[in-house]
Amino acid sequence: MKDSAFSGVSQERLAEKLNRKHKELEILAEIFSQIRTTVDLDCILNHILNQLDVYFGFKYSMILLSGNRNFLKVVASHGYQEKSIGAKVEIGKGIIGIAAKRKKIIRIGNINHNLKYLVAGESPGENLENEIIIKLQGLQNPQSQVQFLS
Amino acid sequence: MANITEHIHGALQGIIPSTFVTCSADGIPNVSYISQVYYVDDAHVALSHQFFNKSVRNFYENPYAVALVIHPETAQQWRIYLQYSHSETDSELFEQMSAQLEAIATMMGMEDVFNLKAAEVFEILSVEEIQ
Repeated sequence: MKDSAFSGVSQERLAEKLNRKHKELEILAEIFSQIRTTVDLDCILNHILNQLDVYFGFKYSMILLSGNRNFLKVVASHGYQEKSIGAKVEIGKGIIGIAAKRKKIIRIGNINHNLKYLVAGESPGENLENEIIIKLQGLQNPQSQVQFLS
Repeated sequence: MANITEHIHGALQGIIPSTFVTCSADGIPNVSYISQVYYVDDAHVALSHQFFNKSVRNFYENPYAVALVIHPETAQQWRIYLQYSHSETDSELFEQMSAQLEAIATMMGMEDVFNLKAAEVFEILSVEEIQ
């Protein structure tokens, strides 16, 4: 009984995964059909960013390609008021630079919060190896003086 | 073995900090706020270990912990009951988590201060939706 219930759940999940893969292929096919309409690189890049917005809701996006030496250059931009075409990012610096250096997808949900956490985490109290013990003033054990009334 | 369902994923993106509760071997509890509970798979989550703090000391000596996670869009909360499983220092998960930390640290010029020591992996014992 248990096995058949488990098998039911597995099949449901498998069907869900297959459905998702099918949808992904459909989206990729649509993106490629759009890209194929031109050979102009700027148009192709802009098509890609537009499709990312339509299918994945990426309202703000840009494409950077490797330029001179250790830099990436913005070659297409979508959603931003300032297009920033030609702006440079050093490989190994910041979120974009580290993603390029490590060749990893980096997803950070709340950048401001993370930055604040780093600043707070720098204080010695965060690290148990450097823990500061603050002695209570006066009584060694404050609760020893508390009377519990029943 | 408990599972992370799809609608909990939003609470594991690090948008709202999570509350993490551990207890030392001699029974002293510790509550701290952590940036993110990382989704590993439907039965595991991971925490980043940058410093040897009270939480780390506690789950090394007493493996049971609870994380309270909040969905940023719906404010729905879940208690995830955990058991410490193992530390990873050379894996795809570790690389992913350390890349995220390094990216933020370089923005502050703190890449030498903030290094990921380990990805601490926990098995999910149960998930409780808070009504």
